[in-house]
Amino acid sequence: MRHVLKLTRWELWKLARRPSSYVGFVLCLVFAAVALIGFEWSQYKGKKIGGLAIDPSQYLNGPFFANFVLNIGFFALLPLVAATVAGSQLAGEHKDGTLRALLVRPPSRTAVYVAKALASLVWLELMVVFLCGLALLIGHVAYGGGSLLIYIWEYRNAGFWIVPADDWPALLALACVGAGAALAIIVAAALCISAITDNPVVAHVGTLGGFFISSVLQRLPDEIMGPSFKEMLPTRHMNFWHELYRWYHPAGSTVDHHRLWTDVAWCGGLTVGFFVLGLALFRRRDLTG
Amino acid sequence: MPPVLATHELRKRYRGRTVVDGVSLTVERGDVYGFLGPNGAGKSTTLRMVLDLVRPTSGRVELFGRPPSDRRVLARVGAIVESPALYTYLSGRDNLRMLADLSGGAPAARIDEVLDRVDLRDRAGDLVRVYSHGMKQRLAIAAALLPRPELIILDEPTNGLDPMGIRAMRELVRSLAADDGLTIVLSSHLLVEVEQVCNRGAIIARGRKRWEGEVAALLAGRERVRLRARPLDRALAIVGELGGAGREVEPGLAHVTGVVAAALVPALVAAGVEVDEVAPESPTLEDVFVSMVDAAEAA
Repeated sequence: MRHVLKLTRWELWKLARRPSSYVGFVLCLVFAAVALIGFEWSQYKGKKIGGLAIDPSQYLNGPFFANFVLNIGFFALLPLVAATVAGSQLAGEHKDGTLRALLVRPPSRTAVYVAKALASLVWLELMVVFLCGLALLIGHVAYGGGSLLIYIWEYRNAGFWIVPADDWPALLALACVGAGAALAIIVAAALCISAITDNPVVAHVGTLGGFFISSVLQRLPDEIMGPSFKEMLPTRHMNFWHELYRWYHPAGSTVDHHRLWTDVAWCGGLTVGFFVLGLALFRRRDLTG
Repeated sequence: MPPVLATHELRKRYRGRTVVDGVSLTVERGDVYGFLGPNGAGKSTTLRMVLDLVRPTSGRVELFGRPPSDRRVLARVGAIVESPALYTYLSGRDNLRMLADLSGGAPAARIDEVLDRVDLRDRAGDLVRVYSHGMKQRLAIAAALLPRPELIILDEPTNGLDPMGIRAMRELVRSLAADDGLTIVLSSHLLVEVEQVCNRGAIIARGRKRWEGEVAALLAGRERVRLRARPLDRALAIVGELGGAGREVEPGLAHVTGVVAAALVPALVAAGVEVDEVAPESPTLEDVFVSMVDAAEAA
């Protein structure tokens, strides 16, 4: 345990000192800027949508923009960042030869693996918070503040709802933690592949390939891809954190606890599964070359 | 007291190919142990098994009487396996700070001490990215020395170094053994390195140990006579009559063993052979090594 904590600290320090670690932050910046440009071109901007009790255009503000960027980024950007950070951990060090320098010292392979997983998760969470915080800042400057309009695709039948200005900071903070936790599955998968290759690109592409295949299969009609099979796909469960928004429904919590805990259990199980598999492979691996 | 390092019938197979085949080595405290072999002989794989980087297919390794899977024993070992492995985006000092902490910790004064030892203190603040290969190699040695190890394993430490770097590395190894009393395992395919620095060693070829023992003993008893005479075939016949053996190594020149020069010259003169050169010669480790490797190749 002592070795794990020490190693985690050094792994985070290495991430902080490695210039390539900041590519993800730059991508977050670009992503938020592109989202803002997209917003400016939105056909709904400044228009009242007919048939709704509220006028959504009044709520195009900082918190809405931050939430929008977080939700879109969760599928469009953050998996890429998660796969890149975690996929480089073991494969990148193996390629550079520095993994040897670590493994000829007293800390065990298990300690090295666990420390790299923890450091990747912390770094990823920092990027999630950075993306959301940056979008909040940009949104505030561009559109001002106010209450948060919630519209989640899975709960579209429930329509829009409003979270008051006093409540949305906590909601967004929880959403950041939830999104980071959901992405742990990508970190675990990338680390698992990283444990068996000395080419980080293989880990990046392999993880993202798996993620996008899962996303595509999940969207196929039930007639083509059976629901029981879809239930096993990681992307089927990664939106569990969206239930957090339903805690803040004006009519009181409408959280579907069964769905929530089923998704959490699947995500947790798959994350632990990838983690344990990767660890087992890493412990057995011969470090040649 | 158990040997510092012992391997017992160590074997490694990769995809049906045996790269290390039943290698048993013993390194005693205070040895400067040369581990010789041509490229691809299995030296690095053996050392990786010693350091728990590669799992043996069979056989076992003991460091200070303990298996390397007992990670605490690795605190007593400093190692460089093949090329120096350093974080190029960190400074030399930061590399040492981190690696020292992972080896059990070392105060800043110890870091300065090892930097002085490898003559890198002035450049310690620079990123490793801008270091020359020789500087990286020296920094890697500094990293290996940090935890005050009892055993240092250096795998091909002079690879890629210029002549000055090779000489400096050789001096450093000598000094680590003589001044610090460290036990050193030095893997190399450069025989002059082992001949000049090591007291004991082993030769490995095609994955199998061909010899292990005192370097001096390996060379002793292998003196030969360099003979240039006309006609050479007549001279070699006389060598045979005297109980020796000779081999023509180039036109007009033979290497003769089993006969001393003092006995050979009168016999050649008496037989009317013209003697142009008779010179006692000590074989180099290279000669011995090449003959062993040739024998292994032939087998």
